[in-house]
Amino acid sequence: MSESPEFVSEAQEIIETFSRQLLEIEGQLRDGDDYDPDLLNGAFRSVHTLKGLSSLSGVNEIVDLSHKLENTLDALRLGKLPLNQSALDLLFESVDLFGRLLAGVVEPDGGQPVEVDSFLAKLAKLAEAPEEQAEDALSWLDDSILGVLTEYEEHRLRENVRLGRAIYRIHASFDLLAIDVGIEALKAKLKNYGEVITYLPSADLAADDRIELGILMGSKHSIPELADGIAEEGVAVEALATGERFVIPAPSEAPEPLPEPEPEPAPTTSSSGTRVEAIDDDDFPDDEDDGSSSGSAPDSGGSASAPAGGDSGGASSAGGDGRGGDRGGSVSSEPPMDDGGDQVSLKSLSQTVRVDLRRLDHLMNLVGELALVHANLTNIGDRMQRTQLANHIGGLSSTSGEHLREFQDQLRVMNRRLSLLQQGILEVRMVPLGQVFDKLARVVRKLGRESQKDIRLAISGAETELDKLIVEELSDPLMHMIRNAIDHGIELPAERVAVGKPRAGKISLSAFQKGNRVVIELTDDGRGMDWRIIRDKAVKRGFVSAEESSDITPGQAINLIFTPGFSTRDKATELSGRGVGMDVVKTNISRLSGMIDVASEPGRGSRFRITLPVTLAIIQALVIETSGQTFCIPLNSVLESIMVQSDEIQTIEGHEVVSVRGRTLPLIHLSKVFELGEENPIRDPRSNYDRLYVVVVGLAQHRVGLVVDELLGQQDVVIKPIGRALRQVPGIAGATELGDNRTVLLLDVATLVGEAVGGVEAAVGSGGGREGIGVFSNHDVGREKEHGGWGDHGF
Amino acid sequence: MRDYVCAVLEDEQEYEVHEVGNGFDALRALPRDLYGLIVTDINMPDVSGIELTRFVRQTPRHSKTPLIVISSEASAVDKDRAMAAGASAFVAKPFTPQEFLEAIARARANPRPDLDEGGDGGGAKADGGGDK
Repeated sequence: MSESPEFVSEAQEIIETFSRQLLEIEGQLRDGDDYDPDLLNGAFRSVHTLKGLSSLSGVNEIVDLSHKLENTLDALRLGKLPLNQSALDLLFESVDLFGRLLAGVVEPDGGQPVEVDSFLAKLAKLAEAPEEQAEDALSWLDDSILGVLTEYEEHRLRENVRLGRAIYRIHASFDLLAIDVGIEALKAKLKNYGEVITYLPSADLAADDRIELGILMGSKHSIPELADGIAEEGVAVEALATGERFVIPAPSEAPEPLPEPEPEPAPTTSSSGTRVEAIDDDDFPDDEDDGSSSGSAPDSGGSASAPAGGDSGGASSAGGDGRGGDRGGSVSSEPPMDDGGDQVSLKSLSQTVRVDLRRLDHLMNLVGELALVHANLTNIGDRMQRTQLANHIGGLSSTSGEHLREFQDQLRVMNRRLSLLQQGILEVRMVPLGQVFDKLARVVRKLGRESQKDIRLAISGAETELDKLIVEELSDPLMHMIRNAIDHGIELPAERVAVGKPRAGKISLSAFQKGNRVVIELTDDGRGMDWRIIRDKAVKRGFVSAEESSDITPGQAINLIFTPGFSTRDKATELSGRGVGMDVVKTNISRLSGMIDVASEPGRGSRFRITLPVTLAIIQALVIETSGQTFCIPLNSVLESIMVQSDEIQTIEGHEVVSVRGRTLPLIHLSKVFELGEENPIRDPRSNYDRLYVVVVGLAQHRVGLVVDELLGQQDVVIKPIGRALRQVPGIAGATELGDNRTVLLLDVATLVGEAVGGVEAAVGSGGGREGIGVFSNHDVGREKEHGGWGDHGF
Repeated sequence: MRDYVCAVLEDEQEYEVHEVGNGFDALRALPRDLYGLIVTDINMPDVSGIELTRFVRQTPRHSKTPLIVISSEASAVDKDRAMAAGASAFVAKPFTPQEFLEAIARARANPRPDLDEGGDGGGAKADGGGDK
């Protein structure tokens, strides 16, 4: 197949948008019985666009599926099919199906062919059961109005009537030249009061330069409320069923026509004159309900025949204006309603350019090389200055000294620009975490249904940005943790109710930036983890000996879930529990130079916290030397550097450890790992012992001390990949160049720690302080306090 | 779609095409200028093609201008209402350039099929002017 990567990524983007629209519709339906019709229109357009795109690229399976789906969505949009849970489920199923079809495009040979037929059969079945329409619901409406509505507009009108809203016609007239401004202003106001169904223009025969507009809208507000909200001179509101009318008077002569709960900005004066007229149905059962008048006192505004609020009421449904409701923070603003979609179908949905990350890496490398050139130039400048000084004792020769100064000024300017350039490239690599969160929302929904658990997902901080590479690598670990939370954490509804919790379980996913790190927290309010059970399980599996377990702390016990092969359930379920869970999560996070902590309390829930660097492309590094070789250590995994004396080092079962503030720290000699030969420790003349520098590095929940000869300093380094010969060497993550044209290797702390703790940890557990396998992290303690109630897990 | 329609019309070299972005822009342009042919989609935001048709027919100078309504679905309801509002012809997508040109010919031969039974064929008065 010859599908371009552009097709795949663009299609993926559309599918993600589609899925987000569905999630939002579902959320709104859950909160009331109404949803924003623009969302459904948006979903329809997404699928339509996908169809156009895939037909251009010749991906027939996707064309076929999106075509059928488009028909279904159109029927839903026009109210020919009811938008109920089963319809929504089917739509969500299509999201997965699209995803798998797309995966098949990327790798035509991988996996089984995607089975679409059974889905299409279900789709066809859905279409067979159309809803009964109460055809006479609009019998009171003037045919001259109904006659010019499109099918879609008529459906929206019916929908508004069904939801118990009153139908109004608002009369406004606009100056032809200023119609855009005038209409936009009016539209914005009307939006707060209900749904604008359509605009019925008519030429004002009296004046050539004006247009009369009838605006058809559904609203649960009364005429006075509506008129009050519009507050534009000359606008009339007409209730279409009763024919009641209210003309908004000129502001100057209005003797306080209405109380104003939300004062509106001054009307845009004479360019527009507007009236509101009410269309309502006397047959509405809830017509007597005058709840709507509570907001605005009887108006009796001198100038017009304003009715008492109640008549136009229909203010019965609580969720009447569901669209204003509960949208999450991650909601992207909808593009303006468009036509059938053909005008946009060939254009991209967003103003973006997709760039292969490798190209950015290349640019980043070039910037790094420029920085080296800059360093060399600076060097030359310094040498010239020295020569100058030597040749002209008693003062620089004025001209060449002048040139030298100019040269050095320019170098400084160049330096500033270079760092801006570097910053700019870094920012290009950043993407919001929302990209992953959206996918997770879908997973939660699906798993929740499959496991018959009612689950609410709260997302915050979706706008937090991270390097694209990191965001990509995060989705699998997060997915795994969410599966765990749903499978092991959240209880069945009955169980929850029995222990006095709300029926619906809550999982919250939040992200925030803290310094140059990003923290992601995943919290559930499920049954939590009992550290005693985990401890006993660990003993049974042989991860911990019985005697060790007797004085293990809760914090240490909980962290045993990160041990490879650990699983708290005896039986694997569909969702998780195959025992490959948390240790893989930990490994993935470590690979990103991140850390993971867990806290849990039986009966209350669990919280996982991941801390990640913002980017991996350029990092701050600690430059060290050992056995005459220079290395860089990523600073984000360095917790501290300390100096120890050789007599403080103890040997436990062949592994060196040192006690730091009561905690036992395993030591690794880089010179031994890389077989570099003798270290050059500094002999302390006073004590006659060697002094050693130890760089304490932490990854995930482990800490290790790296023994080095010297600390040379900190520096920003651009990481470059290393050649094939070195790639096999464990413990090396890449190479970088320091300012003086030296190539230096960057240590892969994750591997070093991983290799070391395997052997060392067991020894530490049985020998020295218990804290050897405790939770290590450099989180500040203050934040933990806010959460409270998590017990003494000792973050 | 709009590009497609414009391309077809310009290929004919008989029309100078004037595009507008939405229904409100059309409302502004129509009473001021004289057009030889009006083409509109039925599904537009705010002002639909049917409503635009009704508006055009209220404007004296455009009471008999050929007007074609395009729709993405062959909705019988929409077609009936568009024709009742005074459209000259209705074309459902997808259509070929040939089908579109035939619709133009029909529209010019009889701009107001809703008014007459016989079809007086009195259309085709202005060829030159711009188009929507």
